[in-house]
Amino acid sequence: MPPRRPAIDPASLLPLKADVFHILLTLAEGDAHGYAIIRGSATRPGRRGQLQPGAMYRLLKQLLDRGLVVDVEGPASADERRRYYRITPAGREVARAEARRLDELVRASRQAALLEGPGRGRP
Amino acid sequence: MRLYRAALRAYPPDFRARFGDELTSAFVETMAERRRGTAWRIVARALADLARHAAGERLATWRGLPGGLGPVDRPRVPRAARQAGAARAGRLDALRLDLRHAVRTLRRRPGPSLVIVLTLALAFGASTTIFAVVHGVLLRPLAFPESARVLALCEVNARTADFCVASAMNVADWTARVPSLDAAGVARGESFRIRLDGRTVGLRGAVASPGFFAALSARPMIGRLLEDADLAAGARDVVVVSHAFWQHRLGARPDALDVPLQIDGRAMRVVGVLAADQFVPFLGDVDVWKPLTASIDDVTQRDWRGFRAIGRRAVDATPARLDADLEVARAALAAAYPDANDGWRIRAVPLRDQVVGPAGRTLWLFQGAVALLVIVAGANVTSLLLAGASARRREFALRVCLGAGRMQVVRQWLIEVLVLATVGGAGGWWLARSLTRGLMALAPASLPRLDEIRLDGTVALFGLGLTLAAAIVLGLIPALAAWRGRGASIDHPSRVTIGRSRLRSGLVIVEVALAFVLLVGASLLTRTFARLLEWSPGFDRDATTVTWAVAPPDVYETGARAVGALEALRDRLRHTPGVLDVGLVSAGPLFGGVETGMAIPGTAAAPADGSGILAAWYDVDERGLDVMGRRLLAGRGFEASDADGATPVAIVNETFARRVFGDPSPVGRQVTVQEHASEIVGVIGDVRPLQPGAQPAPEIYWPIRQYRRFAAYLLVRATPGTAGLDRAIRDAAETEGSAVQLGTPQTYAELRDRALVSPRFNAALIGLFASSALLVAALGVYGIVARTVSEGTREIAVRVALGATRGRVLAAVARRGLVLAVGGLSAGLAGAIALGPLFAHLLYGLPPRDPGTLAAATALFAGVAAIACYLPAKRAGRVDPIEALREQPTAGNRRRSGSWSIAACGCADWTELS
Repeated sequence: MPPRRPAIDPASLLPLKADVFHILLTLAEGDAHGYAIIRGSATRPGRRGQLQPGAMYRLLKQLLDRGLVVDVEGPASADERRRYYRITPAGREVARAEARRLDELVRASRQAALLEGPGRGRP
Repeated sequence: MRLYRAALRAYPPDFRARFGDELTSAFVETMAERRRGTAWRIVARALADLARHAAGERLATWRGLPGGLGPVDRPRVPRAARQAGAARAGRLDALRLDLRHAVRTLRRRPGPSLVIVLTLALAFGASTTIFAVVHGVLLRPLAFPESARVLALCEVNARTADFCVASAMNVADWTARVPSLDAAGVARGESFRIRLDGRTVGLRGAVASPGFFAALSARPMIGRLLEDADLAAGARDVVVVSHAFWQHRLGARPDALDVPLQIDGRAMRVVGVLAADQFVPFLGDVDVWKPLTASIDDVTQRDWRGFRAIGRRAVDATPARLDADLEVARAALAAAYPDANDGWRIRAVPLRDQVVGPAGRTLWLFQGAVALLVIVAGANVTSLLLAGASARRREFALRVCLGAGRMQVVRQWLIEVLVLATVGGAGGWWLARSLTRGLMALAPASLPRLDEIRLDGTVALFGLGLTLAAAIVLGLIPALAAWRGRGASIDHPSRVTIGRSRLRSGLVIVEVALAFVLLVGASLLTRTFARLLEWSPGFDRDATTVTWAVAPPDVYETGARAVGALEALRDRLRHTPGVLDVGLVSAGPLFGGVETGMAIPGTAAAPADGSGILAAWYDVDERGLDVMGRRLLAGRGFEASDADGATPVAIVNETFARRVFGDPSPVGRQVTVQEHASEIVGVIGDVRPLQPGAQPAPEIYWPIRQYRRFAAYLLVRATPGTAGLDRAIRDAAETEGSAVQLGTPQTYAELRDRALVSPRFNAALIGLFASSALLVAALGVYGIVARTVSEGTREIAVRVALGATRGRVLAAVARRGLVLAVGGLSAGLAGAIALGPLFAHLLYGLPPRDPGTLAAATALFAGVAAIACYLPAKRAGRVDPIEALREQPTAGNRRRSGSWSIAACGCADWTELS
């Protein structure tokens, strides 16, 4: 039984579920409450439809449990019943790793001429 | 909202504690931002979302595994935890196994499974449909903001019984004096003539005070609604129009506010259009609303109570507080205006109760009928399941011997029933969808809130609850029976005796009894309908045409001139070929409103409390009573000389004579009704009203020339088959010099058909329930006898071998079914007699315990039960002892007893095992 590691190796979590990545992405832009994350999902490119609350909170719980996200006091003006969520450095690290992975995939796609745009196209 | 909170319980407690509030508020916000009409879709989606993720979360907790973030995430887990998880996963696998086994077992016995599913689908479908109606009409709040606080304000008097009326002046004073009323107002239907695009058309209109709209929280779509300023003398030429009027008459123009309208000869300005979805009680579809003071009548007469009043209770006031405040205001107003207010009380009734009115009782009755059907179906299914269970005792015993826990056996059983109930529930929902559509097409337009009936989330929840409850109850009874089957062993096949399973017999008795109660109810309503069809108003229904004729007050000015114009029209029609007779009447059976007069003072029959007798009053010309076929019992009819200036005269009906004077022939006596004193010159026979539960009311008739109005019904009796009568009536009205306006001519037969929609609907509905229940109960009796035969084949064979005749065998088997049927019928008879009075208000000319109906229903049921007993018994009579005794009770008699005999089908399980 391997000892529990204090910090998470981001690579061990990849690839992330699309919904998880979306939550981290929203929080990377700034602290948000749960409903804002749900609302944001409706307009995020590459998503079909809105994230459902049941799904969202379940994933959020897992992120909290792994220390990728913490809950914080909302801004002074905010409705105090609402909890706000903030991405931790570890969470940011995981999101970045996922973004890098995706970026590599995109680059690979370009190389395979699946996509147009800058990149090393076929000679 | 409450539903959502309840659904959150599906999550593990710690998850709920952490995120429950947030989930709820996310749901609330989603609901708040929804588009119209999407609410139940959102609820369904949210519940599906919860169900899926709560299950996942529970599973994760249960297995001791954290949830994954990635799609292929398999975190390393301590071995101990993995083993515990595996054990639990094993349980899950077992569940899946049970499920698969259940489906397989049920498919192996398609006959009984199909019957169970169909029975359940029928019961669920019927009850969900009726629940949808009950929910839409009775339970759901009215469709406007905070409708629970909106009340019908009624002024009642011992003499006016339950009529809900109010005086406009009194309501205005309440609004000012009662602090617990936020708003209150009155409205009254009036008909207007409107000139539009060069044509004059009649319209349904109303006058209303601004408070009427305020109490309803009505919204304008364009412009504004009526305001207090519109009531002032110089400002009355404004109108608010309905959304339908705006669409159909004003061409949905956005600039509708500038369209000038000519209403009753006056130029009027449209100031607002009511939004499309606004609910307006009492008045039907009103096209044009005028300010109260623009009425052609004097609305400032305090004692004129021709209005409907609505109030909105203040948020912080309790109903009791409002009643107390209203009482204070009433007392003050009674002291200030004793002439107008003496003897009147105030009743504040929730608007919903007032709108739904007497339809409520009928609907609850149907819900009761459905409950009976559900119980009958449930009893039958239980009985079928019990048979299956007893036949499978050996299978269960074997499983226990092989090491299965009893719990596992019971669980397996419950899962089978759950599968059946789920399929039945799905079928029921499908059935409910078609039934609801059919029902709404058939339902009488008089059923209030008909357009609000739909299958929504609440109804779905009801159906789901019913299905689950049924599965649990239905599953547990046989499961417990199987549980007790400890004594069954593998080497003794079920011992066959004819008197076994008291529980099953009891269920059949219950089924028969309840189905019989339904059958009696259906027979009563069907006979009521038949009697209503035979109803005769006293004249030839098909040859008489009724047409509403109005002599507009702005053209004819005085009542005398208006009556003159109507009489001229009548006389012109009299000379039309084919017309036999023409009369003018203010109202009659099935047409026109009835004006209900006040007490008749100074008569012997007047009760001491001054309440007097309520009489309906009419005015007729000298031919009117003849055309309506009213028999003259004493005195004379009206004559042309009974005109203004002559002695005021009246004719009364039998009931009036008996109730008011206690004398069948009060000719020559004086009577004052509605402050109109007259001498009685004749008595006519009663006509029974065409309405279930109604009795003839006291009636008084005045000559049209002495009691003048601006409108009357034109009754035309013609030779049957006269062509072009409608055209002739119209031509007579459009003659030079006549401004009389006509409604659409209708034959009496059409009027009658419309009046019978409601009874026909009632009879059809309960007939449907009763025939379903009868079928199910007959299947129950058949099933138990068939089982007796199939289980007892060997025993019968032995008896035949020992010399029993076929007849005796047949009788012995059939007797068992008949005993149950007779037991059930006796209980049902007692039930029908006890419950009969609940039907009284739906019956016409029949006592609720009508012996003829009870006898006929008993005979019908006995016949059906006899057939249900005879068919399987006949098979018993054909048992060949040699063949039956040679065979083991296996596939052979399984085939013989047919798919019905679950016992034999069930045998397959253990014969294969042993």
